[in-house]
Parts: sequence; C-alpha cells; structure tokens
Amino acid sequence: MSDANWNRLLVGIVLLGVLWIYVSRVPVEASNTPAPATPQTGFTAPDFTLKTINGQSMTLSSLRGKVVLINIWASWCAPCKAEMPAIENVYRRYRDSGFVTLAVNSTIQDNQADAVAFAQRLGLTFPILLDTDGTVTRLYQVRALPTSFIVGRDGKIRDVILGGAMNEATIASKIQSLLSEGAH
Amino acid sequence: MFPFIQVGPLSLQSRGLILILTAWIASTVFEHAAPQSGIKREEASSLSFLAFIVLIVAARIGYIMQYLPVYLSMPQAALALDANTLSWPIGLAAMVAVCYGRIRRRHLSLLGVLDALAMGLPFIAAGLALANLASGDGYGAPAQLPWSITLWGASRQPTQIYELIAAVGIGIIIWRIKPTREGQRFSIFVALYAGSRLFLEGFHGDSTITWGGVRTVQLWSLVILIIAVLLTRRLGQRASPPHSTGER
Repeated sequence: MSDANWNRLLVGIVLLGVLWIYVSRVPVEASNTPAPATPQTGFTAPDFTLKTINGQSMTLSSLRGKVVLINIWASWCAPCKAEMPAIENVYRRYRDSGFVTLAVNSTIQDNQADAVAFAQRLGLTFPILLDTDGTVTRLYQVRALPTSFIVGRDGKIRDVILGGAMNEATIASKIQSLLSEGAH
Repeated sequence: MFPFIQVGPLSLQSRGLILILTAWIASTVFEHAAPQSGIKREEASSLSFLAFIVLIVAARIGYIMQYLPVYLSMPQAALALDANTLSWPIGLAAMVAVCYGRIRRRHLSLLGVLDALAMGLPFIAAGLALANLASGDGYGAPAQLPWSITLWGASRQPTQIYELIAAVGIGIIIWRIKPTREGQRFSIFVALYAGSRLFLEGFHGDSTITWGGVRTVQLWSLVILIIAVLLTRRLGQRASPPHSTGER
C-alpha cells in the first residue's frame, strides 16, 4: 500500500472513530436514570421483606446507607456451613462501621428446624431470614448455594460471589472500600 | 444464560470452565504456530506454561497487596486460592513483563512470538464472549430488536453474540492472511480487535463512561487501533525478510 493510501486509511479511521464515539455516547438521561432492580453487579439490589427466625420482619431497602452482605444458604450445603463462622467474624468486626449481614435461608429447599438449629449452634448474631416460599431465591436467580451479593450504601450490587466457602479475608476485602464510601 | 453446569452433585461455574478451556486451546494453537515463526515448539510450550503460572501467582499477590492490612491480620488467608480474590490487571502486567524478559534471555524473536500468539488470540476473544454469554456479563443496552435477548430484566442488544461473531471473523482473517513481514500478523490482529471493540462497545449497557457520556473503552480502542495501524505500516516498510518456515 502506498504512503498516500496509508494516510487516507488513518484519517478515515480517526474521523469514523470519533464520529462513532460521539454517536454512540451514553445519553445524559440514560446515565441519570436509576439502575433497574436485578441481581447483577451495577444494578439496584431487588427489594424484599422476609421474616427472621425470631419472627421479626426485615426489608432490604430499610438498610439503604449501609453495606449489606446478602448470603443465600441452606443447612445441608457444606460450603454454606463452612463460611458461616467467617461471615460471623466479619459481621462482628465491621457492624459498628455500617455493615449488615442478611443470611437468607433458602427454606424452600431446606428444613426450617435444621436452619434454626444450625444458626443457634454457631451462635450467629446477624439476622437469619427465612425464604419459605422461595421468593428471594427466585428474585435473585440463585442457581447454586451459597451465593452472596454485596450491596453498597447506594443500594447497588457491587459484587456477586457464586459458590463458597468464602474466608474472612475475602469478605473483608470486598466490603472495606464500600464501607469507606460516603459513610452516613 | 447458563452460569452453571451441573455435574452430578457439583455445580461448576460455566464462565470459569469456558475461560480455562479457551486458555488451553489458545496455548495449544500458539505452540503449533510457533515453528512457522521460527520458535521451537518446546520453547513456546514452556513460555505459555510460564505465562499461566505468573498470571495466577501475580494476580493473587496483586490482590493481597491491594488489601494488605486485611491479609496482615489474617496471613493464613493469603494461601487460600479463590477466583474472587485475584487482580487480573496486575497478573496480566506481570505476565507480559516476565514473558518479555524470558524472550530476551532466550534470544527469541519478539515479533515471531507475537505472530504465533496472534493465531491463538482469536480463541481468547471468542472464549471471553462465550463466557460473558454464559454468565450474563458484558450485557448490551436495552433495545427492541427482532434479535434482542432478554437479560437482567430487559430486552437487550446481544453484545456477547456480536463479539463472538467478530472474534470468529477476526480469526478467519488472521489465519488466512499471509503476512510479508514479521510482526504484521500480530499488529493486524490488534488493529482488528481494537476496531471491533470500538464499534461493538457502542451497543453495550455496562460501559464505564467519562465526560459527555463517552465510553472509556471506545477512547482506548481508538488509540490502540491507530497505534496498531501505524505499526502495521511501519513493519511493512521494514527491509527485514518474512518469517522463516523452519525451526531455529
């Protein structure tokens, strides 16, 4: 190819590239629209209300302003059980900094009595929620246990951790930067 | 979307499986292509093994360094390898640096290695697109098209499929071209891939944006595309002979 043709090619690439970047830019109104609720990183965490094993109701959206770990688990799931002590330790360490853990027992595929017994045996201090009809399991499109969603103070999902067992350092490293974001 | 493959009681993450399989195919292709670029196959094989080890170890060390206070308080956790706690940018940077050092030490032709690598890179591009399709990552912007896919609560541009088609197209071009100069196959791959990213990023729904709603990936892709075209031109002007066909 001659030098002139190379120059034409380069000019064409620059012009077309800049034009396409401008045409395909994200419209201002789209970037200002709140992210829809769906269980994926970058989207708003779908809201739910569930009863705890103590019979109290808990709503995710009432925790806006806090960093929330939603851990979906079952008592028959070995990795779920293996990571619970780590989750408890991280919860104790960071709860005063605005960290909340919601351990959603996928009760629809578990036994409520087993779930309660497990939580009591380990002395878990964070809320254990019972998803008796599977609403949250379906809403969060859970296909494997455990599945964890880390929600930022803005209510958006910042990380999805499929499978386990997570250790303390993994959880702590995932939430530390979120806790330092605009603490309320 | 198929985030998991069920094997008996085990749920295996399809994204991870696809990426491992892709890396294996790409390294095999690289090793087979290496002799055409004047690199011994054993040399290519040990280079790809080194690249893989450095990538994983450096990605892990990079993540630990990023969260050093956490790991200093729980040093035993540093040894627990977890796919969620790897820093890929650091891993990739270390891999490039270490492989470059080895290429220099072993007096291999850098451009020859890159040409052989270019034969395998379309598999990586296709594998990434497939992995994104399986996990739902790299999703498109909402769009009502006859070929839209429903993902994350909306009808969307099937960006993962566009990228898969682009990777196959780039692969066909890269495998069919007969470059006249060493390094040209690689520079043409980079130009084509950057061009495809520049174009297809415009359909994404997960872009990182900068001022005025401009997508960051597109800016970088345009810069890389220009550099790759300039490199292809420069390589074409060099008086060096094309690749030898035998092994060194």
